[in-house]
Amino acid sequence: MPKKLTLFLNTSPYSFENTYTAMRIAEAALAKGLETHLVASADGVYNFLKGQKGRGLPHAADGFKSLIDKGLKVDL
Amino acid sequence: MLFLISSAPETKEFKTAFNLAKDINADICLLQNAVYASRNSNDSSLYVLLDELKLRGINENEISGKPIDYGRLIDLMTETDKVVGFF
Amino acid sequence: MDNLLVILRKPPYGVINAAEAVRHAGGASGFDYKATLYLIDSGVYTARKNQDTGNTGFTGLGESLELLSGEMEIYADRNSLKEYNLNEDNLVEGVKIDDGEILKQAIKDAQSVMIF
Repeated sequence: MPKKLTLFLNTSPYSFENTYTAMRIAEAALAKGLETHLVASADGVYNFLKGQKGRGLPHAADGFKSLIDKGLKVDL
Repeated sequence: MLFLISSAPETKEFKTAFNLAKDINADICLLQNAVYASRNSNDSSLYVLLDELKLRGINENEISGKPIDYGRLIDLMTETDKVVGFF
Repeated sequence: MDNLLVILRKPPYGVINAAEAVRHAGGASGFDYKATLYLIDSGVYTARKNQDTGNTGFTGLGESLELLSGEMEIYADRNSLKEYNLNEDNLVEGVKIDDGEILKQAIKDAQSVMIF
């Protein structure tokens, strides 16, 4: 059975570094072939809002979109 | 067991997590603002995320821990029996 | 039985951590997990009794702990209580006090640890 990693993200995208950390960990886990999940709870769900125009720090929606394309499974 | 610690060294969150990890002999990986702790520590057993050091202008030779990349972190997380994330 | 440890390090209002910790521990317990909720640092304020939410719209988390204590173990860290000048008489019913040993064991025993 392939190893499975589940990340839990409960902070909003632009007040903390957790979004960036979660993206980097997910990226590395997917690159190693792990089944990778992310559960977003509380303000964590704002990471997945459409139409974000954030600049000057990692873009949450774009970053997660590209990870979802690579196989990240997200539950809100 | 592996503890992931992200809070800045002066915070209560950092101290609680760090002391608890030491108490139960868990490995520690520092990320986010916790990496600053590696500058003032002689503890060579600490894992420290290299990209987070670089982001903060800290040179590898300023620290006593083991700088690692995210790939190595995933290995540590999958090799250990449990990951405790003090995010 | 599946075994979840929830550690709460933040006070009950002001940030969402406490409400989330209580919600997740309660949810797990509802799904037949053996859940343990551990209050440490300013998280111990969550167990303070007589929290009066009036018509603020907040859920009274002290009361929530009292209700949940029937279905899960809830502990407060003794050193943290001391630091915040709280004693057993200041706490809601059902919250036990730990000297640190239970926390260490709970981390070892838990399948998953969630930190708020």
